[in-house]
Amino acid sequence: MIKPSTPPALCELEKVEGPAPGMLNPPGQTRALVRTGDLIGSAEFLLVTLAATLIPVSLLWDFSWESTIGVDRFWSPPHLATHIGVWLSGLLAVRLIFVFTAARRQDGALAGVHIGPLCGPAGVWILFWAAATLQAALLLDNWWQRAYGLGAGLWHPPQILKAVGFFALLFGGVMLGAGNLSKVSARTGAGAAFLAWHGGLLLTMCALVLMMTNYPNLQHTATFYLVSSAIYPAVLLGVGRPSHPRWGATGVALVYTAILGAMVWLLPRFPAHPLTPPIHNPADHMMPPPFPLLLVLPALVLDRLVARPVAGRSFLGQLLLAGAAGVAFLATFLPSQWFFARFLLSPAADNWFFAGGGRHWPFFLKIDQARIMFWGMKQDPLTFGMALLAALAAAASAWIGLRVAAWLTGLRR
Amino acid sequence: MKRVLLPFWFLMASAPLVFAHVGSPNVFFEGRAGAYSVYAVIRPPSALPGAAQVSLRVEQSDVRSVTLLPVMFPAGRNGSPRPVTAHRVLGETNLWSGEVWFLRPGSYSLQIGLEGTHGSGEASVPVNGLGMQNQQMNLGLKAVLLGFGFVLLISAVGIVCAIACQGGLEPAAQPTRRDVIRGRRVAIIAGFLLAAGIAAWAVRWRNMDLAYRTYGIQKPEPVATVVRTEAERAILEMRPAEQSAVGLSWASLVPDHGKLMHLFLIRQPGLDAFAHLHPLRRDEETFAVELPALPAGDYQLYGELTYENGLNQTLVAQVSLSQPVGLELGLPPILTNLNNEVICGFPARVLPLTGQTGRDPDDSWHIGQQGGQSGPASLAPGTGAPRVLLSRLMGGYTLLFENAGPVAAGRDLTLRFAAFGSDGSKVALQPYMGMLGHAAVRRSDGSVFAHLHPSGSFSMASQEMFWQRERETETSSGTTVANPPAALDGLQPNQVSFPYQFPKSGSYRLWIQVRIAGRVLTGVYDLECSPDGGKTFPAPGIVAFVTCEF
Repeated sequence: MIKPSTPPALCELEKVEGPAPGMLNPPGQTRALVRTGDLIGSAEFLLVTLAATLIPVSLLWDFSWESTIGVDRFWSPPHLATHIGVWLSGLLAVRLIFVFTAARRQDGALAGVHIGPLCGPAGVWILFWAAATLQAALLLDNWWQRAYGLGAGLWHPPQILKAVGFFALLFGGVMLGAGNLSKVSARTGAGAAFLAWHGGLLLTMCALVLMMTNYPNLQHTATFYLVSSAIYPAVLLGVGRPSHPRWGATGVALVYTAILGAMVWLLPRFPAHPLTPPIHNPADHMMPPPFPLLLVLPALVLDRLVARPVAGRSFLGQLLLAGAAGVAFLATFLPSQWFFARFLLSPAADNWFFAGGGRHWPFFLKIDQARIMFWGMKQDPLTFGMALLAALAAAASAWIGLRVAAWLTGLRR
Repeated sequence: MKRVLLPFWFLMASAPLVFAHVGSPNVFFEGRAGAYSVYAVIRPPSALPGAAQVSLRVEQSDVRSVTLLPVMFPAGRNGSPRPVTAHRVLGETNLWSGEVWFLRPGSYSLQIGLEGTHGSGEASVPVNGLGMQNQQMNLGLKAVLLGFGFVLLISAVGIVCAIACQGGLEPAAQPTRRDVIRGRRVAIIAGFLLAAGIAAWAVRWRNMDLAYRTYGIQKPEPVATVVRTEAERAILEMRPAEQSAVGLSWASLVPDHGKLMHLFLIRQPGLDAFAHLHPLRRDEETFAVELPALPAGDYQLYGELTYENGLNQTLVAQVSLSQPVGLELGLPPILTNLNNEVICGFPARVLPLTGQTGRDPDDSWHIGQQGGQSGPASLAPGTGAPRVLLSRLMGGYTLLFENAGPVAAGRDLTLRFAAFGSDGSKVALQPYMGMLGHAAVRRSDGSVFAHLHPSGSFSMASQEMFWQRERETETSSGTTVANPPAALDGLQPNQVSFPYQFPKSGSYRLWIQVRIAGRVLTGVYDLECSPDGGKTFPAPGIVAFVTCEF
């Protein structure tokens, strides 16, 4: 639960009468039993959320900027927003490590994970590492852009390093939320919302990285369903279940839909035009990203299917549950997205809400009639065999998600 | 962060890459834009996307505004953004600067627009928008990144170990031995995974770098050559190399000055034999030319092509002649120079017979000893004044390097020459392939080679392709497109000038080719270029002398 900002010196203390197994202090001595959330004020939680939100939002903004304006300098506004998010995360991590370390020295509080003389929540350590990694990636990327530009191709080393940093940063937020939820009182309300929000950010980041395969024109290919099945169930279950056992995955999917939808609806409100040739698609406003995937439907099904606790099930039982979840995910996602993609490419979707109909494309792309066609259906058809493979991938992804969920649920610091 | 998603689109719409010149990427333009005389230097970005820097000096000082409009070939002017406004350099009256953004690899044309009291004018300068030889990471950055990487790796393993050990413990609990062992096991696994990831990451870096160096950068394209004898004539044949980085076919070439290929042969190491030839196409993948009478030796070959999309490309190869080649010189009825030191040859007869490879009437070659020699004292009065280099041409003519002086790398220059007869009278220059002269510049080690014209270093064929593209647009859209800008005037009939900037210090040789009395003659000059280049911008026809002399 998110609590009002509390100075570290006023952290909650409990009197412990007897030595529990593995406890540090001798019996009868006052010791601090401070949970992760107790040393973190609501302001810090909000700032962590703001910093993490800036990451996928600024990257979507950057995508729109590159697709609409084209001139993409180091200090362009989307880049600046990303830098702010990274720096804010890093500074918050430093502050929280300082707070936890100070609390440990003053009161013997043992709330965090100890590394040498320092102490901090598990998620904060990841946040700190991610922010440092992104600074290194920034240095490397700055050199790379001058040396190679984009001439060396997609997913170049600094880009990979940045992706690692971004995912680590968002997962750090998830871990922070999961550690906070270890308090029974935090399992409902703001604590769950914090975790679900960060899960949604993680899901948005996944969808953003997969945008290459997520375009509506590619949503009738086998690769799209294979990749989607391999990624999304893990995130929906992995973060969704710890946030709320009955509606967690749905919450995560709703956050993803809200963030991406907001970008779809807001970005075209801002006028912009290309500043570099070639202009094959004239633009007078910021280009929206594609409409979000219909992940809410499979998330609802996953929540219903795995509502019961996983703990206590046998390994085989867990595998069966994961298999059922995978099949359920694909059985819901495939038909809904298949027909929704058809709708998105139709003139009926050519409006501000869906931003479809093949209207919105990067200005430099000469696409002509291909804008309203499905691509790759001959080269990459969704056959029965590929659907089966996608179901297996979804099952494996769901199993990983359940394992991650179990681990996050057990996170105490 | 920067360009996370854009490469997706690049992959979908990337263009094949070709390359122009050797080691001399900047593009120079000297000519007219309406009523204004313009000298422009365009420095393409080292990597794309990136900004091309444009420096512009206008002879007239009454210009109110200068705009820069980048046009990419496939999209044309209608697919271009609003023009960028150039800014007058602080403290200067007629020096302007600006930058335009090149997004994708390909053929660009920079439209320079001027507005002033003399009305409006426009000039068009084609530029290859391609990546260049990527810069090496400096030692300091390398050390910082390696240090950063090491710390991140160790800290990642440490953090994973600590979290695996303590993350699931209740706040007051101390880790048991079992927790510690679990943490260590997870840390070991994480360490292995990270190491594997770093190894894969490094391999990807190496592969991408290799692919970029092979296919992505601006570099000359090697060609396969063979010299064979046909009907007692030495024929040089050229084919694309087996593993060509160029995605364009030689079937899509367009003529530059009426020739599909301009070929330069330079004997090494003495640089004492030079030929400017124009091979003819034998089939889609073969060009051939009859070699003139050249002495035996090793020759560096440079070829220049322009494709129909406006991109131009330089070919390179090594050609060895084990013995002198060519028929008798077939010298025209012209007197040799007095000392019999220089031979300026051109075809006495042209044999474009069916099924045979002949010589182009504009082929020319030069066999001589040293480059330019200091002129008589009367031409260089006073100490410290610009010296004049004189090159004796065949037939008793002389070609003077009028504004010879110290040059520095990176400095914008206009190299001006004037022709005189044996009696010292001015001799009018005649057009040679549509221009008053052609120049070839080569650094002693071969790392720099450029083919220059009085209007600059760009491809005239590219310029023509862009204008043709705009004329087609004009026809379809009803808009009006101005004619290509005229070359700069103001020179005497016996003068010719070439805008250029030596890209790096070193010893250079220049071959200046002019046509006099119907014959193509070649003057040769050597010069030393100092390393301390500045960015000052001389007015057209005026060279700034800084440090060293020829």
